[in-house]
Amino acid sequence: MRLQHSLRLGIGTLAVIASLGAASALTVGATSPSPSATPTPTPTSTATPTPTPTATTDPSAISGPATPSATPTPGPCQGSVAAALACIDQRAKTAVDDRESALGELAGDVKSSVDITAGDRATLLGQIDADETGLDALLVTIDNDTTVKQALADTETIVTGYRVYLLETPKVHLVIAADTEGSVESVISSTLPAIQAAINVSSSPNKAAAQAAFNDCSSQLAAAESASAGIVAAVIDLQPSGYPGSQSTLTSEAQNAKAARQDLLDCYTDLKDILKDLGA
Amino acid sequence: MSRFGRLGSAALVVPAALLIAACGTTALGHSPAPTTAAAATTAAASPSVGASPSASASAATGVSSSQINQIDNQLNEINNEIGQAESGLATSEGDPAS
Repeated sequence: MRLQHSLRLGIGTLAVIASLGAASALTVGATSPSPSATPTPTPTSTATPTPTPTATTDPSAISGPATPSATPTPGPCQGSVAAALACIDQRAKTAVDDRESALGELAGDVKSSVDITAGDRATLLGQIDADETGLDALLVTIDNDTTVKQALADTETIVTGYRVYLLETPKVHLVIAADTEGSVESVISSTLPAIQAAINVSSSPNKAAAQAAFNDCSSQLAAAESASAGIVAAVIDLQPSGYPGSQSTLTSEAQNAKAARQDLLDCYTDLKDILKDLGA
Repeated sequence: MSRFGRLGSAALVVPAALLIAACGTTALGHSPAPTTAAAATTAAASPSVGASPSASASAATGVSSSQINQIDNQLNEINNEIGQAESGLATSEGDPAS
């Protein structure tokens, strides 16, 4: 009985070892992975990230700075020249498709924004269109490459020549944010004279509080206008060739946009307080 | 009515009309963008419109509760856009060739 049990354990162990060995052999032999087995480390929808972790290849995409991907990369394309070129072509197509999808979403955001200025809309849509055209042409070039070295070099240009995720995406969203801030600033600014006049003639017991809130709103509005004034000019013409230096500009302008937004929020709170004070 | 009185009335009415026009346009064409994780985090801190201004206050200032709501929506939209920009900055381009 004991002998039979040991025998069963031994056979089971051998079976596990054998299956592990087979799996390793399959992995090593996968020099030309199929498209479904070639996940690119690029996020699929950075233009409009969702709370769900779609960017599993890059967990830092939402929560923090970029870190090395947790998902193993498929490794270099190998095998015969024809097989390697086919592998590179497939990966390039996936990378271009992902970026064109992101660019399409960015174009949609630009078109649907009601507060973006006409000039900024035209500029951004022109840049997005040029990126899409350039990526299409680049894919044709890669398809026509006859050496692995050239195909790899051209494929790298998908990243370095466009910077869709790290440059275009934050740029577009910052321009929309800044223009929306400009719209809110304009609306509040045009309203303040009437509000001051209403405070002046008010007989509310909270008139002094309303005036204090008005003064604070005026200061916050001025601060918001100062913080948001240079955002568009600083980012809208940033080019992929300026990477990585452009990242500090984008980060800095994102901070300006946040500061302006906070100032506007404070002013907005003041406005609500004024209305309550005057209506008391 | 004196000239000053007419000017004073105009000073009250014109900004109010501008506010109504600007906010009305925004309300018609606005389509909220998808909320990102980053935006959702910060947007949660945004105050909702808790108290509507009284009718008398609205009449005096030319600011209605719907206009206050519209500014609130625009502030949330700004938050959303900044969140998406920051998500882009924090992501990776990857390496399609490897």
